[in-house]
Amino acid sequence: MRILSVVFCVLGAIGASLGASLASAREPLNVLIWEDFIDPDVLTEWTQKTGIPVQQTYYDDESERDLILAGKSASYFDVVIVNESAVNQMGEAGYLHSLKVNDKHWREFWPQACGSYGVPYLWGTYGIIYRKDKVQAPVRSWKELLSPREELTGHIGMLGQPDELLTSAFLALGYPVDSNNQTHLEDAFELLREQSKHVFNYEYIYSYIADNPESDDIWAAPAYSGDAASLNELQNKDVWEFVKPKEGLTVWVDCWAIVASSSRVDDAQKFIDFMSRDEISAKSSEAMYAASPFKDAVLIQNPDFQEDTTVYLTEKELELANLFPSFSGNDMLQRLRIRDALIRYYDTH
Amino acid sequence: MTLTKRLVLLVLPILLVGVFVAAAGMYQVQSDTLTEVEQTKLDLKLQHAKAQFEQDASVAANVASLLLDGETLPALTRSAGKDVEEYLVTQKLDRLIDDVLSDGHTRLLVTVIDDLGNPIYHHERSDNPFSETPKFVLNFARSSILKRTQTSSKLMFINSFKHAYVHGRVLDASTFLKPFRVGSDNNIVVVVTSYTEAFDRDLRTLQETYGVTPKLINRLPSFKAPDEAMTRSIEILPNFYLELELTDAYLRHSRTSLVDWLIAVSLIFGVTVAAVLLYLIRRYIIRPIEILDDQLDLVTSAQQNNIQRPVGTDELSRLGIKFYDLYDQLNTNLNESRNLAITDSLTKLPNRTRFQEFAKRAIVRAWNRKTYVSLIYIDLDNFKFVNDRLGHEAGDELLKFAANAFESLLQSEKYRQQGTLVSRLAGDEFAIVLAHDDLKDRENLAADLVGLFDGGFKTDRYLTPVSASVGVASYPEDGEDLRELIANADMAMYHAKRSGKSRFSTYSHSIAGDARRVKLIEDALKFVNCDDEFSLVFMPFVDQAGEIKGLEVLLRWYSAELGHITPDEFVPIAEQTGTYSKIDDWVFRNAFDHISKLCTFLGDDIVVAINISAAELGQADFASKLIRLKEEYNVSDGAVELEITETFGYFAVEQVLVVLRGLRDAGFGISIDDFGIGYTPLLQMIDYPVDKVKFDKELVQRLTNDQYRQLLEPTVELCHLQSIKVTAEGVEDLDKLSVLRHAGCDYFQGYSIAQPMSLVELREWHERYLPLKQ
Repeated sequence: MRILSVVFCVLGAIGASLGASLASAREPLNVLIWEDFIDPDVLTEWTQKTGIPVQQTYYDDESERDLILAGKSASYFDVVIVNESAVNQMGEAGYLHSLKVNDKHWREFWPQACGSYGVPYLWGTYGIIYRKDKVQAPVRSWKELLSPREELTGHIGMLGQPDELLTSAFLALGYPVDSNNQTHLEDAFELLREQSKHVFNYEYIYSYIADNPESDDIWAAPAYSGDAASLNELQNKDVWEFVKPKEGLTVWVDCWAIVASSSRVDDAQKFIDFMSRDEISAKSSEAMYAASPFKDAVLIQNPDFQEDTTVYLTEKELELANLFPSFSGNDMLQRLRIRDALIRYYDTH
Repeated sequence: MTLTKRLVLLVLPILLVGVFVAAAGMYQVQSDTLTEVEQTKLDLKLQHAKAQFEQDASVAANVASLLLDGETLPALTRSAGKDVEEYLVTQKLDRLIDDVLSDGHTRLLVTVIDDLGNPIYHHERSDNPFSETPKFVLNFARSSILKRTQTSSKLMFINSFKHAYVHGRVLDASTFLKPFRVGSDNNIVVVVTSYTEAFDRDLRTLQETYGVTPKLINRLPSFKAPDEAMTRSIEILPNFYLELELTDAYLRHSRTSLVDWLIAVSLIFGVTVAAVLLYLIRRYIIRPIEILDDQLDLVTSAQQNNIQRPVGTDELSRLGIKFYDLYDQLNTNLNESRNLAITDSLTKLPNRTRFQEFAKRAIVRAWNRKTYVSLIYIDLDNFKFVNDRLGHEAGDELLKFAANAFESLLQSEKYRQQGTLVSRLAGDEFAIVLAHDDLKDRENLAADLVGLFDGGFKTDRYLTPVSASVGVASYPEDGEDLRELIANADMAMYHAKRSGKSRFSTYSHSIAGDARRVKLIEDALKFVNCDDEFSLVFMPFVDQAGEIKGLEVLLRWYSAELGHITPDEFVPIAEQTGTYSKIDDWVFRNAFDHISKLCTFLGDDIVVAINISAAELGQADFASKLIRLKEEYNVSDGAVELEITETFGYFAVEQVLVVLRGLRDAGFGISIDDFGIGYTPLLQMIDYPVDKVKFDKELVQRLTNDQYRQLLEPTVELCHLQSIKVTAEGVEDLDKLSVLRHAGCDYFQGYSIAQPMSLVELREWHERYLPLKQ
């Protein structure tokens, strides 16, 4: 189960040459984060300004991340990226540091998303990407992806996160995404299990292509807005296209949080503040091809970028869009077990 | 029956019986051990099932041990009911269990139950995310506490082919160690349930294979296991036995399988061995015999001269070689004898048989092509002379050379293109078959053949005075079939011979007529009554003074059917047919009888000259017979003169000379008739014991010509010098008489003097002559 293996690949994204003496004197700030989720220029700027280097540790599975935060090694980390649906539970369970109230809340797209334990970093839409050069017709809905037409068989890459899997299945089935109804869950599991025979793998498409840049196996996959642009850049060709699925828009928001056991809360807070600056956020947003949560930051972005509908939603879309819902521990466990059972089924069939 | 069929009938039954007996023996042995084998097989399967069971069971025990070790279990109990923490701890436990079991796909349940019997953790490692704690697990946990056993295991029957191994441990809820007293408060039970899927699969396989459901029996040690050989048993847990009965039905079935297998194997084996055996025998034994047989067929149908000589040393090759040699020898002998049969051994020319074969075929061809076939008969003239005078060796040499000459002629440019065959028929007779398109060819060839003998015939050692008489008859002109052609060619050849030899005659109607007349004469001679039909005439001859000195006796034949027949005509026929001695006898007797009558009016000194054939001199008893007759008729010495025609060669033979001397001594006079036209040189002739020569009419004619007249006198003188009197024949006029008289001839005979006359006429003539002479 590749996707569950946490990438403890430590990258010395250590600050730039400037202030080398200063940097060498300071301990690096340890950040637990998705791979390639931070603009190196921004990091350089931070280190130049503060003299504090940043050391990133990557994860590619949210439940694994939660186990890290709940485990003994959590104290190693200072800053962590947590998705909005988990940030409050993890905070309430005492694994995250409570943050001072953010004065920018009124100028945010999703003011409540990160709650009192997080500050929004980037947001985007959860949708579908496909290979323009491979498929006969665009994959426009979750239903088309989960009950795929013949040409897609063996070329579907599913995103093996419990929330993402069930959200896709619920939307395809027409169920509310936050449902905990047993029948709904069973139907969703059945749909996913049926689909598994068409699935190439359950890795995050971006991670898979980063590892296998030459691969042409996957033609359609669930993905986050911005992934299409990143993948085209990665593979150096304009073949990936992002689609907002017909059944409805689901929005993700990733939040900066401070690990409860961090010994450097001040530096961590300073880092989060730096990242939340409008000009930094605007820069990060463009670099990551994801939306900035700060409306003021958007204003200083490239007008083309501002108007890119794969990044920012229209007013109407914003009204219809839903965030990934939050669940209780038991419900999270149920969803996790559905995912695990699916992967086990996939591996044995 | 062919060898192959016989082979099949002999080998196949024996082979099949052998294979059947072997198979039956094998079945006997196999079926005895079959039961044993089946028992062992079943034991192994039970063993395998047990191993599967133990594997599943050990997984359960290991997972239980794992949970007792480390902090997970305490964390779990502490976080129970604390929403997110419980989620995280549970997730961690799931991961832990998954990691431990990462390789296998055992369906495993891990349940932690508090002392009230409520599950505080339940995880099913399967592809069912909605699993709930089964009742039997809860019951097991409760009973574990009630039984106060810290560790317990149980085989759980879920349904007929679904079992589970349940392993439970009772722990103190605070220390997570072995409780001080099991069954007291504050206990938790960790239950690991392993679904023995592999084991269940084995059980199902066992049932499918053996047709009976395997039994799992809990039997206390006090109970003795039933001692049934047919029920095999294995202990999979203490006091738990897996048992299966080896039924008769199953054994019967496997025995049937054995029989089927044996039959199949025997059949395949039998057929294969038979096929291979038949093939090998056919290929290496029968085939060579067939080849030999085919070869013999080719030989007997004459498509081949002999069989191909086999190479090799095996019996068949040796047989073939022996046959080859035998046939070769037979063939050689056959060819030799055939050659002998159709070849003349002396000249190596084809013989009469071959001649007839060839001629027949040539006639058939000529009939088809509308062409000619001529038969050319060759008879060597005077061959007898060569044989008699020079010996048989010379005769043989002559025949060989003549044969060569004929062959060479036919091989020459002129005749090579034509279909010819020369053969020796017999003695000095040869025949040539000539196939030709132009009728004139036969005359050319015949002329050439005669020409070969111009001036005599030369061999290595001799120049012989032989010539050839050739007769030709052609198909279709002169005969329709071979028999007729042969007869006609022969007839033509005789005609040539009679016509004077050294010439050829082609068959014609006149020849046929002549031949017919010859035949009539022959027949008439056979039955002639001499006294009725023969008569004698007398031709006087006179001396210089015109005195009648003697009479040449001539024979006349008047046949009622044939009329007058001259001696020239019938004498040669009589000589050939052997009737001449009868005629001779009659002539001598009558002539001798006439002597006394003649003496009465011609005087006692009258001489009677009688012609004899030179051929008769060769007969041994001729002389003695004549002498006896002379005595019988009391003929005085010198009264009879024998005139011998100087036919070719006979005087040269010593035997003839002896006879002549004998006759002369007996009182016969000897004269040579027709002297001058023969072959014998004059000088040689006068050495012979003769008293008189009669100059032939032609010699007389020639010597009385002006051209040769001067030779006349010396010739007469020469005879006189040898004391030989000379008679001139053919004196036709008085001038000649005068010339001859002056030349010194002693006697004269001819029409100018007198014709041949009967006795009566002679008397009348004599009456007239006497005064005339006066």
